[in-house]
Amino acid sequence: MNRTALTTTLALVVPALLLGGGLVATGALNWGQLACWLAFISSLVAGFSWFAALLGRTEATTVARAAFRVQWLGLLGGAACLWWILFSHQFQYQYVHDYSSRDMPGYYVYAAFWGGQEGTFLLWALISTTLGLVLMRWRHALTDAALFFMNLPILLLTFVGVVRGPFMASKQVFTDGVGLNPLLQDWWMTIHPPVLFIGFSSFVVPFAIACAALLKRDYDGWVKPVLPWAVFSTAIQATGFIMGGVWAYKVLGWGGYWGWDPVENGSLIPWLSNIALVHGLLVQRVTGSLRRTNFFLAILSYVLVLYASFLTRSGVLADFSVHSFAANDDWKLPLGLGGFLIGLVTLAATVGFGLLLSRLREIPRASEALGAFSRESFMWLGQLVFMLMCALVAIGMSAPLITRLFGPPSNVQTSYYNLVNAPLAIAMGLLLGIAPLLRWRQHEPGAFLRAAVPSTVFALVGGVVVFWAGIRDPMPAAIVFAMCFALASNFMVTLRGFKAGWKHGAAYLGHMGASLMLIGVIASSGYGLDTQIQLPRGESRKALGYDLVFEGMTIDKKDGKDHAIIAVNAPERKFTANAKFYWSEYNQGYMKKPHIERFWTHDIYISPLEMVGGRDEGGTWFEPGETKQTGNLKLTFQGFVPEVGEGRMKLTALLVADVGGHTVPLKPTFEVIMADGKRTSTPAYLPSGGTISILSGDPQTGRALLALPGEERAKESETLAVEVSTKPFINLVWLGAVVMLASAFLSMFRRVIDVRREQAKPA
Amino acid sequence: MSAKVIAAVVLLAVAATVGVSSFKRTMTPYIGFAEARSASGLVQVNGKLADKDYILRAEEQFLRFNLKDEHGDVMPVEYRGVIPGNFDQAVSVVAIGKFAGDHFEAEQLLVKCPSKYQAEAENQAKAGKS
Repeated sequence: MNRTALTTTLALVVPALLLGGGLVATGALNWGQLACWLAFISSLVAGFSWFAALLGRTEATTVARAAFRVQWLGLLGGAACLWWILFSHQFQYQYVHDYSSRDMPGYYVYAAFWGGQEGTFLLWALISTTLGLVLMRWRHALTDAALFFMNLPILLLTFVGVVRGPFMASKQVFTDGVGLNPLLQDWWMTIHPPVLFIGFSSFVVPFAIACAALLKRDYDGWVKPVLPWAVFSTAIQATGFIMGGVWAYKVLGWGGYWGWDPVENGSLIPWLSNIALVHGLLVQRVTGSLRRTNFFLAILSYVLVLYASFLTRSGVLADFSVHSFAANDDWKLPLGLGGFLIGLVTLAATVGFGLLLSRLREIPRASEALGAFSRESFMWLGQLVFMLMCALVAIGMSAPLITRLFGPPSNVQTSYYNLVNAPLAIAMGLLLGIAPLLRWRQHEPGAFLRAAVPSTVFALVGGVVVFWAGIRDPMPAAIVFAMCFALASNFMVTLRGFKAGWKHGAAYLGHMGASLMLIGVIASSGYGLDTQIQLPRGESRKALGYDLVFEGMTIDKKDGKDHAIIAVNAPERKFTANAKFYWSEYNQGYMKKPHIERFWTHDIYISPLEMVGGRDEGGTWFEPGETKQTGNLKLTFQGFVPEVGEGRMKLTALLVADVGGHTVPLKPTFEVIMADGKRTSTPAYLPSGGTISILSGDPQTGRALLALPGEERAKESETLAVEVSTKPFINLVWLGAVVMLASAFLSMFRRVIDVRREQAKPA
Repeated sequence: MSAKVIAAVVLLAVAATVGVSSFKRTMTPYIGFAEARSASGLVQVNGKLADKDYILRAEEQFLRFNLKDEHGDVMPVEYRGVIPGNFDQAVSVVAIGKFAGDHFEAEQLLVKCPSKYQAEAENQAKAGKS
């Protein structure tokens, strides 16, 4: 570290520690807020220094880089602080109260970091800055200019940390937290959001490098170094999708892995335009064409990331999305969160597209035109297909905003996305099958036709098999045909490539993965069987040729939640379905998790829906003053407090529950309306989960009939409604996804090696 | 004009046609009750439960309730399908369907509960396939 860097670091850190430490001591600030301030101020310093460097004072880069490192330290400190207050259950912080609780296992406490918006902004800033540190190691004339552009959005993100970080004090005193939404309490939640955030954040790098290249008029030099980053974004974002898909399939229980929800669409659109970018860069590397298109796509991808954040986080879609973030509650940012995010989109779009426009006329045209019948022409068409998919999905997810301009805000049904993407998928399959068989620049049509014979034969055979298997609708059949064609072509090219060295086969492997996956998607989502059935306890019912017997509820030893046990006799094998089905206090609703029985060719998917019918009141009678023990719960019933109002009577039971030495008073109530005898029972919640409710009371003796945890639902309702479905060839989806991922990561390493080799060359 | 430009124009035309027609076909406007009563095609309405006098016959998978919009207008809604488990606690209900003579026939119900964050994802009752 040289002297300037050291001075800068000290100039930022020492005052922060002294002044900030003083403020912390007086209570005006806490350590987390201090870390956020340090990051914000460092980001400002870095921004101004890089700006000065761009104006010609190159020595300022040293200051900028040092400040950027301090900024990273600040954000890291902020993250450490957040985990620390979460793990030490400091409920004086609103965020800790809102997203965690004492009884949560450690890995969910860890995941509570990104349980709410404030935390995710911190994570976003931290990841972006970390990527900046990686970029800093790249020795190139564009590096510092790129870092300047990269720092712009980060500056705004750190500003959020200062104004509205996760370190706000609670409005009142809490001794425990609300906890994390049970839906998010899943193993995948500890890994899925950070991966998606890395993907989301990573789009900033191609954006920044493109801006730097435009500024420095280096219209070709940026292609090679940006490739590994663009491929990295593709790979990591795809990892996020796959994790999200697996989570939806295994946990949510609606039977699918992709729902065209705004949140999913929002991460899909930058990914599509990024894939278009990757292919355009490859074309530019070889032929020197598509220069403007590539700049446009690099900038657009990041603008779309920000636009998607705006749509899903600001609450504008709150009425339309089932899983977008909570609506604007009380974001005290200037203009609110929505305004802030619009500002972020506008900033990136103005800077990026502004630079592109100002340079548009001087970007040299391609020295050679795209060959008419060449690989690059077909890749160009492929780019177009990706862009059209991106545009149509973006239009669909923006429907509420677009239609608001002309009349009542409307949304499109999810079928819209399937309808518009189906013809494009056919085009994509054909292009995927043709392009890899072609040579760059110019190809002999006759030679191509000979090369395409095996793929065509395979696709025709595939088409016949599919027709025979029952896929008769033209659209899905055509997609499967096109994908078989792509699969065969890329299989040949992959083999040929790997014989020449892994570097030459990696990319085509990804094409194979994509085709396999799409065949799996068509089969599993369109051609499964599906039925809903009521299962009275102990009686055998038939659904889709399977015999099902609902055997009752048990409490699972591992997670302590209720599970429905269903014995299934399927022709393939006999098994016991064990589907999680419990009352969630947090959501005031039943939480369900499907049972998935896996076979090579299909899955049997059993999803509990609800408990219905048969009110055979069970429960336990308590005398006034009586104490009873069930499990680790010791319950004392002290007596009733009756309230008689106009035409109604209300009973409140005074209970004391002792759970493992932890004593809490409970007051379940029971209300009877005299006129019609309608009864409402409001349960009381145990701190350990589960409820206690009054089933009945005896006014003469003062006895109470109470439903204890676990007892109530097993006895009250005896019929379980389930959805049974089959998912044919779902394994192709996962296999294709894994192959695609492997290819993306291999390709990334290949491009990194290329850049390293370039750097190692003496200048 | 070269073949690839023709191919691109064809692609664009197909995408635009399919896009516009699908958009129109699947569009469900978010409208008030008055408009919903006279609208043709699928629409979305939202509101609160007007009262607790709803009819819920889980065995038959039938639900009838009164929905009240922000102007206090009340409209009966019928729904056949799997009933969202937490229907009682709904703070707001979004119904997608169409008006049928004397009531709104919902194909899909979206129940929002007084909980934070992504809680609603679970509560979407899916009628029909998506």
